[in-house]
Amino acid sequence: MNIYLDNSATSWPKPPNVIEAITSYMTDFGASPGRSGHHFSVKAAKEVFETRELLASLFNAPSSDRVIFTANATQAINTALFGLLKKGDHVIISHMEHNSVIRPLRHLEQNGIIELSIIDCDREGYINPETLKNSFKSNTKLVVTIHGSNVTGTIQPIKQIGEICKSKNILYMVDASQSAGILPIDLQNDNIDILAFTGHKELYGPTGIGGLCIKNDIQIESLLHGGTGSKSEIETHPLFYPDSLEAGTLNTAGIIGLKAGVQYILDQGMDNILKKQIQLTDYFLSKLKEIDNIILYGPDLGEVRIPIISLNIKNSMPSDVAFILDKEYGIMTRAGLHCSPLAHKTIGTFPHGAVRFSLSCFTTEEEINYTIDKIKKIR
Amino acid sequence: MKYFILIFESTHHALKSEKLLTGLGIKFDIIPTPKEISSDCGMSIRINPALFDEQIVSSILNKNNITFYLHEKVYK
Repeated sequence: MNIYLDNSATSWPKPPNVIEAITSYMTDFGASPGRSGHHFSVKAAKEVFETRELLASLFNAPSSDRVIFTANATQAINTALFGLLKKGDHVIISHMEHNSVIRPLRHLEQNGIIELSIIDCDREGYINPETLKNSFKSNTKLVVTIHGSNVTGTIQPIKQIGEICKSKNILYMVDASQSAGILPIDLQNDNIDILAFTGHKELYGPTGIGGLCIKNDIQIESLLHGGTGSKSEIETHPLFYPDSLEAGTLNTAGIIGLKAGVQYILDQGMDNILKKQIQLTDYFLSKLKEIDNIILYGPDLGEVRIPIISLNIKNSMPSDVAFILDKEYGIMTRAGLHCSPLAHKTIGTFPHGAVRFSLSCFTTEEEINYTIDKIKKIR
Repeated sequence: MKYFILIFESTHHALKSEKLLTGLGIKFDIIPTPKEISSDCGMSIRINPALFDEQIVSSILNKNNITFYLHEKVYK
């Protein structure tokens, strides 16, 4: 039996149309987009273009030429941070951030480029907007927060944070790695200046594709300089989006797979997918609460969370629990710190971490029942 | 025969223009950018002068913040 509950690492299975779209690209017209004028290249370029248009519409970004493709959310976040921050800037993040945000910022801090403040969250992982308000300095340039926590499923009040940042004229970047595709995200109404996303989780594309959505008036300097298929006579890198942040050949197969993934969730209806996953997550949580030797983390039953539940079994190491679940019962989870040491400090599970169960739109009630039954057997 | 050629900074903007102009019912071809004009992005739009209204085309492209350059090319 294979029960895959590690969808926050990467979602599996992928929808059939994602596999078909990638296969069709590789079989029927696998050219490099925008590098040559022939019809395969034009067709590939149109696929990339339509993917940008689709993502701009999904996130209500002002302009599709500010949808930038990267290899993953980590590269997207690094691109934004290193391309935006200058010496003397102050940055605020929360105590629920992933290492993809913490590590580049710690690097910039240790090199004397930026000042970094990390604001505390409550035990359920929520940022207190009042704490944020009290952390601003005269040189604060940027606030970065995760949207949906990869550890606890906690959903941050991004609209409220965006409003606060806007009122102070401070840029706001959202790490939507876990939320893009399941929670509504609206760049313009939520006052998000920069959105970093990955394609292979709740957007159901393959690994190796992610990106940024950037508001119109923000200039991010490129980390990479190279071929873009444009301005080829000039020996310096172009400054216009999207080419400025996309040196080198794109991951066309990944982009086409991502487009199919987005189409899949739109066809199913994002509301339907969200409702189904919330119901199943609540059901899972309510059953877990009935088991007496389990410690649960994150928001309590009744609060909306993304479909992630982390827990520990009393007197057991999370790594041992995950190993038994996989080896004895075929249930695949992720134990440990989930690349988020600060989040685990927030919920009190550092350094051993917790066992994380993460669902997707393909997870069934039968799989959850089976999992609950097997968790009960671990003592 | 003389054609108007619209040159763009990037492939993205050429394709965005294609979408916008198609939406207006304008007929045109997507062509590889003529090298004697520019080595900007690889794709350009070629429009028959009889079907080309510069004001309409400029208006919609400017409204969408698309930078373009207008050239003429005579095809034998």
